[in-house]
Amino acid sequence: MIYRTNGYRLFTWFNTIFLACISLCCVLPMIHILAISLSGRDAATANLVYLWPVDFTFDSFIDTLSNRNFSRSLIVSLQRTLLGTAIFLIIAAITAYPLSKESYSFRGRSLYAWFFVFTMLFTGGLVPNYILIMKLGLNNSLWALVLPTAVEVWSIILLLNFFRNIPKEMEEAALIDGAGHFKTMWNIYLPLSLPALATLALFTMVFHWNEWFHGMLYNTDASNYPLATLLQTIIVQQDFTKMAINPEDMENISNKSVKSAQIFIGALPILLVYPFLQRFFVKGIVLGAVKE
Amino acid sequence: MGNTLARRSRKWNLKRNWPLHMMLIPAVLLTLLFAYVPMGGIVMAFQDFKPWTGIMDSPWVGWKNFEKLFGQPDSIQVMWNTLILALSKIIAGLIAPFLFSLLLNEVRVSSFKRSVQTLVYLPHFLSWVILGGILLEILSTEGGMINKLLGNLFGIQPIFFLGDGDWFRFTVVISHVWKEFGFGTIVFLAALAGVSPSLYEAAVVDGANRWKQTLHITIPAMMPITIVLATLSLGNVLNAGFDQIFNLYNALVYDKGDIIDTYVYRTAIISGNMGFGTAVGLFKSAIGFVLIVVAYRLAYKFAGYRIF
Amino acid sequence: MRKGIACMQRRISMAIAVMFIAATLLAACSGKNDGNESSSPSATTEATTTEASSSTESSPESDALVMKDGKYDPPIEITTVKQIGPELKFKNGETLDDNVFTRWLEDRMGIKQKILWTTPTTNDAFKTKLMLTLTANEPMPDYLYVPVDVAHTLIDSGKFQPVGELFDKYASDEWKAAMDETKDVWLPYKRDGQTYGIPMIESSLLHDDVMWIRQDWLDNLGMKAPTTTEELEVVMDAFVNKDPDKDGKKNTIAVAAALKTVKYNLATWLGLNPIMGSYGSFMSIWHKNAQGEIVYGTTTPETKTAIGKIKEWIDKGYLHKEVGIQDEVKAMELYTSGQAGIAFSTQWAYNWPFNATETNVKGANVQPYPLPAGPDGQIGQIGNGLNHWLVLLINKDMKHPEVLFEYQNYLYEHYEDPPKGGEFEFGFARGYDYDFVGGKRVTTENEIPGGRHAPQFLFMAPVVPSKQIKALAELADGRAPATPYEETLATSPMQAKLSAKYIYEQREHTVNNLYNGPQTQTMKDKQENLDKMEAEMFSKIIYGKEPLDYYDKWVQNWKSAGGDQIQKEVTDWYNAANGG
Repeated sequence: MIYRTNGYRLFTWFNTIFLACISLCCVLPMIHILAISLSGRDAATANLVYLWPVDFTFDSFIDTLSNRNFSRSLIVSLQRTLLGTAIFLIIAAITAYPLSKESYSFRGRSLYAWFFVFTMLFTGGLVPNYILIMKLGLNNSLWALVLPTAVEVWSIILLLNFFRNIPKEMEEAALIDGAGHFKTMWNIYLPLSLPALATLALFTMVFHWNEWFHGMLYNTDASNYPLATLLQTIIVQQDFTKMAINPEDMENISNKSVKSAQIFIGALPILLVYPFLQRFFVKGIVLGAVKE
Repeated sequence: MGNTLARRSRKWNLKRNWPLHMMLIPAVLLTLLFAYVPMGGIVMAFQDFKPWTGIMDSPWVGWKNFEKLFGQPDSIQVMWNTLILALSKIIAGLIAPFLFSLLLNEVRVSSFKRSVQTLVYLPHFLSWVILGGILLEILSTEGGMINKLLGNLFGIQPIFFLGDGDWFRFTVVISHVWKEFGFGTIVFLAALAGVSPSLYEAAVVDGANRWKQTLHITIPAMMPITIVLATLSLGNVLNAGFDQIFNLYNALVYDKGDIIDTYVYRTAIISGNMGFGTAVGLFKSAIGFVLIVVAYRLAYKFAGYRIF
Repeated sequence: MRKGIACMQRRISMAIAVMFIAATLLAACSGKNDGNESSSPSATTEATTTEASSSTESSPESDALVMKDGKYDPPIEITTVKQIGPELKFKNGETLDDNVFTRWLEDRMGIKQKILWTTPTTNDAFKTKLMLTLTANEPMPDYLYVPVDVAHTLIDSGKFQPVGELFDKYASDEWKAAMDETKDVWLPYKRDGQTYGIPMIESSLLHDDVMWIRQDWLDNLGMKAPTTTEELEVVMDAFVNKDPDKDGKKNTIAVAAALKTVKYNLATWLGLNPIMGSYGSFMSIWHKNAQGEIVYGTTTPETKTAIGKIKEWIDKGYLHKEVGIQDEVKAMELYTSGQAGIAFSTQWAYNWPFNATETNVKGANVQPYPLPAGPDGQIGQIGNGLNHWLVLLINKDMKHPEVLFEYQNYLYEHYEDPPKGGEFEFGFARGYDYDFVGGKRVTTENEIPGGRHAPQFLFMAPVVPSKQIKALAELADGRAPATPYEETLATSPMQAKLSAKYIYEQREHTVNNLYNGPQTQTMKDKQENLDKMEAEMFSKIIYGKEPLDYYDKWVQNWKSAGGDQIQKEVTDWYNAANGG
């Protein structure tokens, strides 16, 4: 499809320039932070680094990567992210599918829906959740990090709305062919919802990769920390409002280079995964291709 | 309503729909266990909760924790600030990715499209601690990048973005949108990816230009998901973003920038008053829930659309 | 529609019912273990004191804790919890559970340390985890050392034992003498006549300020360091207007300071409290005024004058125009990048971050000077109060608390001020916190091959508060180091010694917060609001959003919003604490 009107061509130009500018606005701070993470401590402390490293050094990355628990934590994080995303996707699919049915054909769906939506807003808070995990004996286990967040209602609602956009005729055709619900979901709904699934998978991966608090709470042994939690131990955040400062810790406090390196290590896996997922939501899905 | 008819249809329903119920079982069980069981903790909102006495034995204080929230001299102002900031963020946070994905949808060059998409997602990974420092730098009245630009282009006097109440709110909303719109864009793009190209082909045959196509195909395709996102985000109507405000605010902008969460942090978190924290959370959830219910009803009544 | 709402209501009420069922379930779970345990602090106090006294009397025979050659045999295991920060690093494949310190601890003392859990130092993680552990009724460790505010909560939990008698009985004379230097440190941890926490004292005067000036700027301008605020204003003016860095641009400010912080906004390690002090103002602390009454520093007339001064300096450009929204990190950036010429900060500030100025800016030379005197010749600054910010607590179920004392006594004897030829003459362990390079002893991160690795002691290393700054001051005067301890100190840069000297000389002018008790009832209700009002008043005046006379209105507001009540409570507490 080629659009040859002058107006559209002009628009395309402006659009391209505009999008490029916005992208630049988004990437400059990141470059700034990359530059800091590759700079010497004194220059970083004095905020003398802009978009190019000063006193170039890999120290911050070496400091982080040479932590003896690093590789162990990396594995824990990978396990957690994979397991978490897999469980999340399965639950989201098999939950969103029934909920996407209309009330007249699936009685009780609204009750189910409100049952889930209620939990989006009302939560018991940290204390009872912690007690629960302890009573269930899930501490020091990957399940404590994966199960409580497995039913992500926001995503399920999004997914059920995507499911609804799928033409009913296709489902009916499948049902007439004698396919059951599971088969219909597997053969029709999921392939047609790949953009949505890819999007939600991405969000979940980002969440699991960067979540550190539960990783700290439910692990008594520091060598089993997920990476995000381990990274928290490499930076210090001290409360300047109190006079309570230990001078020996001071130099670590604003070690901006290490903090910046940490951001990169947090974002890197996503940057690596992104291109693979991207093809699902950049290109439209051709319905005909699935139909045959 | 014919009773027998209803009964018969239910029977038919059960027979045909039992796999649907089965599919819901795992999520229902997990939700019961990990969401509804801990919800018992909400009773802490009505207690003078002490960690060592636990939920069972902490003394009951009735509505005292709520009174504390509303009893402060500046409670109304804090609520108001929260509402304004949160609503502005919700609205701007929907419009920006909406428009952006429309523009991105017009890009034909796939590699450019992908790069833009990747780059705008990056700010999501920055923490407000780091961003706070960067904003302080570029928004400075003393030679900050933004003020320099405004001065050179429009001859505007330097603006004290972080020290002037109204500009502070503006800055908070804009910087939030900047950080998160790449995130929202992905959802919209996923919606657009589901639009069948045959619709556009048909429109071209009908002689519709690109603008008409956008108006009649692209935007309607995005509407359902937009309504869903808008409704769900109403749950956050009293969440104005603690991390961001906490890292950016200062005594100069307390009157326009202090929000419920920062207030709770100063009073409850620091002193470990968990009952109060729970009460505030309950209050915020209740308001959010009411709004979601209203929006759900309205969407159904006027658009005939069930959001969930 | 109405039917829908009714239906909705039913659903909600159902949900609430479920919630309450859940609540009871949960409560049953969490409360299961503490049914027969009394949780009121006074009752537990009695129980533990009797238990403690009986066990100590009978311990030689019944409890088999045998010391052989100064170590426990068989070794005794003690439990604790720890925060992990970047300073916690190990070499040679060592871990938190097995390192040069733990091996020494077992070999030398016969003590095994077991760490129940760890957290990062960030985002209040440690505090949160502790509170959750308490709530879940999980076992507390044998001992832990925690920040002061956490200590108060933990003491209230009734899970820790009184330590006063234990300290009297088991602490060595050295330790006792060190604690006696600052007798008031015990006060905050007293409950009903018993003491529940051992303050981990640090060197005194450690957080007192001197004036750090860019000597090269003074030299460029042919000026001398100011000794009074009047002279200071002249120097500041020159630093702003006379191009002290000789780059032909008007791009400098005089003083870098952090005024953003809400509470204690002028008493940070990079603030302006010594300047306000020279006008007789001690903001945000309780101190005695000329009449001997206890007053809140911010409400004194001197503070009005001092705030007026700060405003004047901002208007004149001496301070950064945005100083009111700058925190310590930003202020530090201004100084270390060479944009600012003066800062008021501590003795250790030269080692970090001010030495970075000399790396970043060619020819920069940072020197300490005594604080300038105010118009009435007054010098003043806010001190670090009770000399500690960590407190050691001992579990009431710990069978042999004396182990902790034996351990710390040993370190007081052998490590704190090590004798020549002793076990720790040069430091804890060679290759860790010191090493010899070419026959010369080195102690810093950059000099020790592989970096410095401080030993991870059970709790804070022993300190005699008066020692460090005094010794540094004398070394600055040219006295030769007499002990291994002083030899270690002697390796610090001249600036660090000189600043210690000035701090030592001006130590009489330090004013400390007199209130060290737990939050009073009125504080609990009103403090947050009062703090907010105070910070707003300060910011609005220095930015000219309100005239200086707004201050008087604020004082009235402060008094009526609970300030008067708090003042009464604080005075009562002080009188009770000091009167008996």
